[in-house]
Amino acid sequence: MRLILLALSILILSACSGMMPTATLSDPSGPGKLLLTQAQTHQDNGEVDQAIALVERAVRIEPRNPYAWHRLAQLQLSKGNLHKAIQFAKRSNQFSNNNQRLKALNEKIINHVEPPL
Amino acid sequence: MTTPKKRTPIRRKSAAKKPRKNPVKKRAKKTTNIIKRSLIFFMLVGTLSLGAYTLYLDHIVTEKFEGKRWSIPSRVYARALELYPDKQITTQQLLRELKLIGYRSSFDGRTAGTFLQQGESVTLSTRRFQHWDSEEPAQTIKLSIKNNKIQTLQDMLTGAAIPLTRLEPMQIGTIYPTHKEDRVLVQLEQLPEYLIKALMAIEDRHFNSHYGVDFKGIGRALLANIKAGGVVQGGSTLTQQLVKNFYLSNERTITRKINEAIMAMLLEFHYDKAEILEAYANEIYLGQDGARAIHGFGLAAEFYFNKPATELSLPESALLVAILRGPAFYDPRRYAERALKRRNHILDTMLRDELINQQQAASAKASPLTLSPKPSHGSGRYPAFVELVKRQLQKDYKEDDLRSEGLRIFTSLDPIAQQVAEQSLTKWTARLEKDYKIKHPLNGGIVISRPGSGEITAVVGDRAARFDGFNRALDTQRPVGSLLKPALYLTAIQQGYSLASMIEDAEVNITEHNGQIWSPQNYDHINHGKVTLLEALSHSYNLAAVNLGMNIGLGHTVQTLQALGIERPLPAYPSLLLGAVEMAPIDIAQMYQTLADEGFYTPLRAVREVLTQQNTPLQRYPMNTEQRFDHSQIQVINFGLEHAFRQGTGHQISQYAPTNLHLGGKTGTTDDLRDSWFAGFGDEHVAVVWLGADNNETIGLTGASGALRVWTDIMSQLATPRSTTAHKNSNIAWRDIDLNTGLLGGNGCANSVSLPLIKNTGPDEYAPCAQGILGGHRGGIWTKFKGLFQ
Repeated sequence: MRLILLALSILILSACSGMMPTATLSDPSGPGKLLLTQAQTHQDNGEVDQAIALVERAVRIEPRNPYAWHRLAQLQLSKGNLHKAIQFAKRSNQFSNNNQRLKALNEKIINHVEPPL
Repeated sequence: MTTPKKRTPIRRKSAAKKPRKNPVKKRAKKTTNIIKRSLIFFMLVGTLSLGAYTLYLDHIVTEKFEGKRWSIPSRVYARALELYPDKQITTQQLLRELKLIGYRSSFDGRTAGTFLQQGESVTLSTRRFQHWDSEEPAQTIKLSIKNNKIQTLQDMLTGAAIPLTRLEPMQIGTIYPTHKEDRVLVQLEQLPEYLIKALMAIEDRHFNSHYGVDFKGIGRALLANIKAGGVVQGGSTLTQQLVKNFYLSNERTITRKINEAIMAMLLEFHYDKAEILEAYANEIYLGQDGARAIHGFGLAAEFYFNKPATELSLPESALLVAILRGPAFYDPRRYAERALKRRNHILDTMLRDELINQQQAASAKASPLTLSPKPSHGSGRYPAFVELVKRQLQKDYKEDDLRSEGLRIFTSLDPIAQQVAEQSLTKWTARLEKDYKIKHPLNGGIVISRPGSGEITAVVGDRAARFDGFNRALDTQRPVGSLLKPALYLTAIQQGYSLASMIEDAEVNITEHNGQIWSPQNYDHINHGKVTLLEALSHSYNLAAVNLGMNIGLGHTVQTLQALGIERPLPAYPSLLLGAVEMAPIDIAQMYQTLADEGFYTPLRAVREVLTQQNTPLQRYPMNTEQRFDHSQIQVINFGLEHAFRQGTGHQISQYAPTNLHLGGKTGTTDDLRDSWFAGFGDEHVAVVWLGADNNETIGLTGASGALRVWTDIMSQLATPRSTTAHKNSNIAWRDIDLNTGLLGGNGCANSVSLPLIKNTGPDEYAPCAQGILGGHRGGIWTKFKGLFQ
């Protein structure tokens, strides 16, 4: 039963992540933005590993870019790696400062997977 | 003599009837018959055997030629240098990178693999390269660097701005098959026309028309050799040479020659000329690099000229053909004149055969040998890092596959960081030996990694960085001294202490598990009494650490250490608090990586991706991270480490680091000054340095007087001032603290420092020195007013 619930929550969450406005398109600029946009194209084509590789490249160039960390969280979520998704969302939060919109997206990932007690 | 008549059956019959009439004649006849029959028999058997043997050779020829022809070593690549506007890089660093990947200076920088520097502007033409995520096309770009930053980056053809591109990565190592044959496979169309023409002109003029063996050629060679009274000319075709190298041994016997001829003909029977020529181009032995044998034109082009075979010029092509006649005899690096003479002979032959014109020949002959330094990117440039790569890969790959499948392994090595680390270790070990009159050879190990990704960018295992031996960065096991103290203070912060908490730096005697009394001392042998946690950490007071550690519980500190990434079992002995446990620099790097990542444990890694020989993605080693600490707590500790570097044990040396760099870290010194450590980080790099003598003798250096010098030198060259503002943390309040009392400070306090305090921790009383001393815990009006904004 717990497994079914877990599977359902992943499904719902994956759908949510798809519906979430991609935080990559407008906010960051420069090489990070370009890579995140390219990653989106790969993800749309179902090439999740390629997308992750591109986002990791963005993280290497801009290790404090909260959008890149958030995208890693989203991509891990789409692969069903819940633990990783939460951790990347937390990392994104660390660099989000006053970006409430992004923080809310991260919290959505963290709380959906790990509901607050 | 025998006659045909004697062979008639009648005769045989009569002979049978009268056996004793003419015994001599009869015996002769019988012998003749036996010989004849034997001859027929042996001819038959011989023909059959030859047929069977030929079939056997045919099987050998086709099986090997159609199967996996060669064991191809795996190639290890550094990170690709990313280029984008605002990228921090100096012109010198860019030019060095270009040199490392074999770019040559040219008049316009528009030929692949060339560049042109004009003041702040650099024009360069990149080579196409297949990365894991995408292919980077060949392009000509122009960039300008000012104030150590890329200002503009544009496509030379279209004039369009380029937001991001990358150079091809440097090849940093090779994992060879056990027989040490190395080669870079090339296809025939990748070889310059000149090379093929020169090869045929010199080695086999009738290659396109013979059937594996050139009988005319053999005859000519025979005549020439008789005339000269020795071997001056060979008659072997390219096919025979291929057979000899590919299938047979080097022994000079008639049997081997016969096999060679049969197999050459069989090869020609089965395969077309292009296939044979391509196999030859990849098989041929062209030089030696230590134990590594250089095979094929693809690798030879890299080995001698540091460029791909497609970019070989006419004189370079001719030189390779010159070398193949005797790679040791015509080694152009050892016998330049001899090699040059033979190269020019080859160019003359090409001119005679009208393969090139007079002008081409004259220009090529006037060209110098244009050799690259040896080896420009062979096996030995970064042995310590490649060793780490091998260890990481051995968890997932069989040794044999790593050595033979031609894998393309992409790593995180940053040649710029690596060079800085190597040079710094070499320079400082020599200088310290001299300044401190160290009797035993000083050596060291360094690990540098990146916060965020956890990627290792540099590993130095010896002060002679090219030495492929004991790897001190990975394998030396030495007591770590005070390097573990941040874990102790972090545990205290977790338990509600703050940097302002006062702790006792007083004598302590502890009965150990073996019944012995342990009485640690401070380095300066002074008991400092009550000190703030900040001072205890930044001045590395041993007694304060032990007293605090015993109060908060050793087990908790051990747990913190393990959460920080120290994976080995740790004994919960009091001496652990002062680092009486042996570790390697890479172990410490993992611990400080977690601190640099503000509480996120990020496993260190050196390998990013593995592609097959055909560039098909095989495996990725993705980034991982896990939050193990509240980042407020880590921020507090990291402030303490910054303070330790600028005001504490690092005070004197840190003056050599620019003040606009955010750097912090901890010294480590061991008993009798045998080990000198420093571990710390800035915004972009985590670095750990260990110095010591291999025989474990005293070196007379503390962490500050030894390793910290190396560390500061490295960070001063690599770190850049923080361009973005540090992220705010609403859980932290900055308060002025009087370090003499640990209470809130104010205008009147001479020893007051602004400290980050986690909410609901730290003092709420004012120190007597704070303005409005009569106000007691409330402080003066000015201090209260300031407090409103803190």
